[in-house]
Amino acid sequence: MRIIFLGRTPVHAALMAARIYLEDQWEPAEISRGWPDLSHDLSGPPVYIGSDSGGTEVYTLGGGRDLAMVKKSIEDLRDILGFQPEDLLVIPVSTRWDGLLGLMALIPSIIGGRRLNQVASLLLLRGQEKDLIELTAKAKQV
Amino acid sequence: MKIIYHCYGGAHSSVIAAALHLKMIEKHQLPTENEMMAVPYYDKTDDSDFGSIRFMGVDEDGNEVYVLGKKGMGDKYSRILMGVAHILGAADDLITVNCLNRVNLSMKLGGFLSRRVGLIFPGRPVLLRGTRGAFMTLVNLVETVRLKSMKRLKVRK
Repeated sequence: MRIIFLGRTPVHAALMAARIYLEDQWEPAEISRGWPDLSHDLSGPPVYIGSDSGGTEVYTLGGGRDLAMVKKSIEDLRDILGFQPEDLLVIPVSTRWDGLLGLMALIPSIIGGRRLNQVASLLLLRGQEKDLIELTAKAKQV
Repeated sequence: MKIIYHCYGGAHSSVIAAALHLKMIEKHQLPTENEMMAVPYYDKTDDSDFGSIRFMGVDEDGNEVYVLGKKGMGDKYSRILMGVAHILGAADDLITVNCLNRVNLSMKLGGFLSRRVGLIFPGRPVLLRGTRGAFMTLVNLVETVRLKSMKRLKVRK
Protein backbone atom coordinates (compact mmCIF):
# COMPACT_ATOMS: atom_id res chain seq x y z
CA MET A 1 0.00 0.00 0.00
CA ARG A 2 1.04 3.60 -0.63
CA ILE A 3 -0.13 6.68 1.25
CA ILE A 4 0.23 10.18 -0.17
CA PHE A 5 -0.10 13.08 2.28
CA LEU A 6 -1.28 15.86 0.01
CA GLY A 7 -0.49 19.35 1.25
CA ARG A 8 -0.22 22.74 -0.31
CA THR A 9 3.52 21.98 -0.52
CA PRO A 10 5.16 18.59 0.09
CA VAL A 11 7.51 20.03 2.69
CA HIS A 12 5.36 21.69 5.33
CA ALA A 13 2.24 20.20 6.98
CA ALA A 14 2.22 17.15 4.65
CA LEU A 15 5.78 16.29 5.64
CA MET A 16 5.01 16.75 9.30
CA ALA A 17 1.97 14.45 8.97
CA ALA A 18 4.07 11.85 7.16
CA ARG A 19 6.72 11.95 9.86
CA ILE A 20 4.08 11.60 12.58
CA TYR A 21 2.53 8.67 10.68
CA LEU A 22 5.94 6.99 10.53
CA GLU A 23 6.47 7.78 14.23
CA ASP A 24 9.68 9.40 13.20
CA GLN A 25 11.74 12.08 14.92
CA TRP A 26 10.86 14.60 12.26
CA GLU A 27 11.96 17.90 13.77
CA PRO A 28 15.75 17.91 14.31
CA ALA A 29 16.37 15.52 11.43
CA GLU A 30 14.44 17.63 8.95
CA ILE A 31 16.07 20.88 9.99
CA SER A 32 19.52 19.40 9.54
CA ARG A 33 18.44 18.38 6.02
CA GLY A 34 17.58 22.00 5.20
CA TRP A 35 13.84 21.74 5.89
CA PRO A 36 11.67 23.08 4.34
CA ASP A 37 13.33 22.30 0.99
CA LEU A 38 11.03 24.07 -1.46
CA SER A 39 12.80 22.63 -4.51
CA HIS A 40 10.66 19.51 -3.95
CA ASP A 41 7.56 21.63 -4.46
CA LEU A 42 8.75 22.92 -7.82
CA SER A 43 9.73 19.49 -9.11
CA GLY A 44 6.19 18.07 -8.87
CA PRO A 45 6.14 14.28 -8.29
CA PRO A 46 5.41 12.70 -4.88
CA VAL A 47 8.36 12.71 -2.48
CA TYR A 48 9.17 9.39 -0.82
CA ILE A 49 9.48 9.85 2.96
CA GLY A 50 9.76 6.30 4.22
CA SER A 51 7.99 3.00 4.87
CA ASP A 52 6.35 1.74 8.04
CA SER A 53 6.88 -1.68 9.60
CA GLY A 54 3.97 -3.09 7.58
CA GLY A 55 5.62 -2.09 4.30
CA THR A 56 3.32 0.87 3.60
CA GLU A 57 5.18 3.43 1.51
CA VAL A 58 4.61 7.02 2.64
CA TYR A 59 4.90 9.98 0.28
CA THR A 60 4.17 13.70 0.40
CA LEU A 61 2.92 15.77 -2.50
CA GLY A 62 2.41 19.49 -3.11
CA GLY A 63 -0.97 20.14 -4.69
CA GLY A 64 -1.09 23.95 -4.55
CA ARG A 65 -4.27 25.72 -3.53
CA ASP A 66 -6.88 23.26 -4.83
CA LEU A 67 -6.20 20.04 -2.94
CA ALA A 68 -9.66 18.62 -3.70
CA MET A 69 -8.99 18.89 -7.44
CA VAL A 70 -5.60 17.15 -7.18
CA LYS A 71 -7.04 14.43 -4.94
CA LYS A 72 -9.82 13.78 -7.44
CA SER A 73 -7.32 13.49 -10.32
CA ILE A 74 -5.05 11.09 -8.43
CA GLU A 75 -7.97 8.87 -7.42
CA ASP A 76 -9.33 8.87 -10.99
CA LEU A 77 -5.86 8.00 -12.27
CA ARG A 78 -5.56 5.16 -9.74
CA ASP A 79 -8.87 3.72 -10.95
CA ILE A 80 -7.99 4.16 -14.63
CA LEU A 81 -4.68 2.35 -14.14
CA GLY A 82 -6.57 -0.57 -12.61
CA PHE A 83 -5.64 -0.11 -8.95
CA GLN A 84 -7.89 -0.19 -5.90
CA PRO A 85 -8.28 2.31 -3.03
CA GLU A 86 -6.34 -0.18 -0.87
CA ASP A 87 -3.34 0.26 -3.18
CA LEU A 88 -3.15 4.03 -2.91
CA LEU A 89 -4.65 6.31 -0.29
CA VAL A 90 -4.62 10.09 -0.71
CA ILE A 91 -4.97 12.15 2.47
CA PRO A 92 -5.31 15.93 2.12
CA VAL A 93 -3.47 17.84 4.83
CA SER A 94 -4.30 21.48 5.36
CA THR A 95 -3.61 23.82 8.25
CA ARG A 96 -4.68 27.38 8.90
CA TRP A 97 -1.14 28.57 8.15
CA ASP A 98 -0.80 27.14 4.64
CA GLY A 99 -1.45 30.45 2.91
CA LEU A 100 1.01 32.35 5.08
CA LEU A 101 3.72 29.72 4.68
CA GLY A 102 3.16 29.76 0.93
CA LEU A 103 3.69 33.51 0.87
CA MET A 104 6.77 33.28 3.08
CA ALA A 105 8.29 30.77 0.70
CA LEU A 106 8.46 33.58 -1.85
CA ILE A 107 10.95 35.57 0.26
CA PRO A 108 14.38 35.25 -1.43
CA SER A 109 16.99 33.33 0.55
CA ILE A 110 19.49 36.13 -0.08
CA ILE A 111 17.61 38.32 2.40
CA GLY A 112 17.24 35.53 4.92
CA GLY A 113 14.07 33.97 3.51
CA ARG A 114 15.26 30.42 4.02
CA ARG A 115 16.04 30.82 7.70
CA LEU A 116 12.88 32.85 8.26
CA ASN A 117 10.88 30.10 6.57
CA GLN A 118 12.47 27.44 8.70
CA VAL A 119 11.70 29.20 11.98
CA ALA A 120 8.20 30.29 10.97
CA SER A 121 7.28 26.85 9.61
CA LEU A 122 8.43 25.20 12.79
CA LEU A 123 6.56 27.60 15.07
CA LEU A 124 3.35 27.67 13.06
CA LEU A 125 3.15 23.95 12.37
CA ARG A 126 3.98 23.01 15.93
CA GLY A 127 0.66 24.59 16.89
CA GLN A 128 -1.09 22.23 14.47
CA GLU A 129 0.60 19.08 15.75
CA LYS A 130 -2.47 17.86 17.63
CA ASP A 131 -4.66 18.08 14.51
CA LEU A 132 -2.03 16.28 12.46
CA ILE A 133 -1.73 13.50 15.04
CA GLU A 134 -5.50 12.99 14.85
CA LEU A 135 -5.35 12.94 11.04
CA THR A 136 -2.58 10.35 10.92
CA ALA A 137 -4.36 8.22 13.53
CA LYS A 138 -7.37 8.10 11.19
CA ALA A 139 -5.07 7.13 8.30
CA LYS A 140 -3.70 4.22 10.33
CA GLN A 141 -7.20 2.87 10.84
CA VAL A 142 -7.77 2.57 7.09
CA MET B 1 -1.89 2.51 -22.66
CA LYS B 2 -3.69 5.55 -21.24
CA ILE B 3 -3.23 8.99 -22.79
CA ILE B 4 -4.42 12.05 -20.85
CA TYR B 5 -4.68 15.42 -22.61
CA HIS B 6 -4.99 18.24 -20.09
CA CYS B 7 -5.56 22.00 -20.23
CA TYR B 8 -7.00 24.72 -17.97
CA GLY B 9 -10.66 23.66 -17.96
CA GLY B 10 -10.59 20.35 -19.83
CA ALA B 11 -13.18 21.83 -22.18
CA HIS B 12 -11.38 23.21 -25.22
CA SER B 13 -7.78 22.54 -26.30
CA SER B 14 -7.51 19.16 -24.56
CA VAL B 15 -10.89 18.08 -25.92
CA ILE B 16 -10.00 19.09 -29.49
CA ALA B 17 -6.61 17.34 -29.15
CA ALA B 18 -8.32 14.16 -27.90
CA ALA B 19 -10.90 14.38 -30.71
CA LEU B 20 -8.08 14.69 -33.24
CA HIS B 21 -6.30 11.74 -31.67
CA LEU B 22 -9.48 9.66 -31.92
CA LYS B 23 -10.14 10.91 -35.47
CA MET B 24 -13.49 12.37 -34.44
CA ILE B 25 -12.46 15.40 -36.48
CA GLU B 26 -10.42 15.50 -39.67
CA LYS B 27 -6.85 16.76 -39.25
CA HIS B 28 -6.36 17.99 -42.83
CA GLN B 29 -9.02 20.70 -42.76
CA LEU B 30 -10.20 23.29 -40.28
CA PRO B 31 -13.28 22.03 -38.44
CA THR B 32 -16.56 23.87 -38.78
CA GLU B 33 -18.36 25.28 -35.75
CA ASN B 34 -20.87 22.44 -35.88
CA GLU B 35 -18.11 19.83 -36.01
CA MET B 36 -16.39 21.35 -32.97
CA MET B 37 -19.62 21.65 -31.00
CA ALA B 38 -20.41 17.99 -31.77
CA VAL B 39 -17.25 16.88 -29.94
CA PRO B 40 -18.15 15.53 -26.45
CA TYR B 41 -17.35 17.97 -23.62
CA TYR B 42 -16.33 20.81 -26.00
CA ASP B 43 -17.36 24.04 -24.22
CA LYS B 44 -19.76 22.01 -22.06
CA THR B 45 -17.98 21.62 -18.71
CA ASP B 46 -18.50 23.39 -15.38
CA ASP B 47 -16.49 23.98 -12.20
CA SER B 48 -17.30 20.52 -10.81
CA ASP B 49 -15.34 18.95 -13.68
CA PHE B 50 -11.97 20.36 -12.57
CA GLY B 51 -9.71 17.45 -11.67
CA SER B 52 -11.95 14.74 -13.17
CA ILE B 53 -10.25 12.52 -15.74
CA ARG B 54 -12.94 12.01 -18.37
CA PHE B 55 -12.94 9.21 -20.93
CA MET B 56 -13.08 10.26 -24.59
CA GLY B 57 -12.55 6.99 -26.47
CA VAL B 58 -10.16 4.28 -27.63
CA ASP B 59 -7.81 4.84 -30.56
CA GLU B 60 -7.01 2.32 -33.31
CA ASP B 61 -4.03 0.95 -31.32
CA GLY B 62 -6.20 0.26 -28.28
CA ASN B 63 -4.98 3.27 -26.28
CA GLU B 64 -7.58 4.83 -23.99
CA VAL B 65 -7.80 8.61 -24.43
CA TYR B 66 -8.90 10.94 -21.62
CA VAL B 67 -9.20 14.69 -20.98
CA LEU B 68 -8.64 16.66 -17.79
CA GLY B 69 -8.95 20.24 -16.56
CA LYS B 70 -6.26 21.23 -14.05
CA LYS B 71 -6.63 25.03 -13.79
CA GLY B 72 -3.33 26.93 -14.12
CA MET B 73 -1.06 24.16 -12.83
CA GLY B 74 0.88 23.79 -16.09
CA ASP B 75 3.50 21.09 -16.58
CA LYS B 76 3.60 20.40 -12.85
CA TYR B 77 0.36 18.46 -13.23
CA SER B 78 1.98 16.13 -15.75
CA ARG B 79 4.79 15.49 -13.29
CA ILE B 80 2.29 14.82 -10.48
CA LEU B 81 0.33 12.30 -12.58
CA MET B 82 3.46 10.62 -13.95
CA GLY B 83 4.90 10.51 -10.42
CA VAL B 84 1.78 8.80 -9.09
CA ALA B 85 1.84 6.30 -11.98
CA HIS B 86 5.52 5.69 -11.22
CA ILE B 87 4.92 4.82 -7.57
CA LEU B 88 2.14 2.46 -8.68
CA GLY B 89 4.60 0.85 -11.11
CA ALA B 90 2.52 1.88 -14.12
CA ALA B 91 4.50 4.79 -15.59
CA ASP B 92 5.01 2.91 -18.88
CA ASP B 93 1.24 2.70 -19.18
CA LEU B 94 0.65 6.45 -19.16
CA ILE B 95 1.28 9.46 -21.38
CA THR B 96 0.23 12.90 -20.15
CA VAL B 97 0.02 15.83 -22.55
CA ASN B 98 -0.18 19.48 -21.52
CA CYS B 99 -2.20 21.36 -24.15
CA LEU B 100 -2.20 24.69 -22.31
CA ASN B 101 0.85 26.00 -24.16
CA ARG B 102 -0.97 25.55 -27.50
CA VAL B 103 -3.81 27.88 -26.52
CA ASN B 104 -4.00 31.32 -28.15
CA LEU B 105 -5.40 34.55 -26.73
CA SER B 106 -8.80 34.15 -28.44
CA MET B 107 -9.25 30.69 -26.92
CA LYS B 108 -8.32 32.01 -23.48
CA LEU B 109 -10.66 34.99 -23.74
CA GLY B 110 -13.53 33.07 -25.36
CA GLY B 111 -13.17 30.15 -22.94
CA PHE B 112 -13.10 32.49 -19.96
CA LEU B 113 -16.23 34.34 -21.10
CA SER B 114 -18.13 31.19 -22.03
CA ARG B 115 -17.22 28.87 -19.13
CA ARG B 116 -16.16 31.07 -16.23
CA VAL B 117 -18.40 34.10 -16.69
CA GLY B 118 -21.24 32.22 -18.38
CA LEU B 119 -21.42 34.59 -21.36
CA ILE B 120 -21.95 32.06 -24.15
CA PHE B 121 -22.37 35.06 -26.41
CA PRO B 122 -19.89 36.62 -27.19
CA GLY B 123 -17.62 33.98 -25.58
CA ARG B 124 -18.35 31.04 -27.83
CA PRO B 125 -17.85 32.78 -31.21
CA VAL B 126 -14.49 34.15 -29.98
CA LEU B 127 -13.58 30.69 -28.69
CA LEU B 128 -14.51 28.92 -31.93
CA ARG B 129 -12.46 31.41 -33.92
CA GLY B 130 -9.52 30.91 -31.54
CA THR B 131 -9.81 27.11 -31.75
CA ARG B 132 -9.62 27.28 -35.53
CA GLY B 133 -6.56 29.53 -35.18
CA ALA B 134 -4.82 27.04 -32.87
CA PHE B 135 -5.99 23.98 -34.80
CA MET B 136 -2.80 23.20 -36.72
CA THR B 137 -0.61 23.51 -33.61
CA LEU B 138 -2.94 21.02 -31.90
CA VAL B 139 -2.67 18.71 -34.94
CA ASN B 140 1.11 18.93 -34.59
CA LEU B 141 0.94 18.13 -30.87
CA VAL B 142 -1.34 15.13 -31.42
CA GLU B 143 0.89 13.72 -34.15
CA THR B 144 3.85 13.90 -31.75
CA VAL B 145 1.83 12.07 -29.09
CA ARG B 146 0.70 9.40 -31.56
CA LEU B 147 4.33 8.76 -32.54
CA LYS B 148 5.33 8.56 -28.89
CA SER B 149 2.58 6.05 -28.12
CA MET B 150 3.47 3.96 -31.20
CA LYS B 151 7.13 3.88 -30.13
CA ARG B 152 6.15 2.71 -26.64
CA LEU B 153 3.93 -0.02 -28.05
CA LYS B 154 6.77 -1.14 -30.35
CA VAL B 155 9.21 -1.33 -27.42
CA ARG B 156 6.69 -3.47 -25.49
CA LYS B 157 6.34 -5.93 -28.38
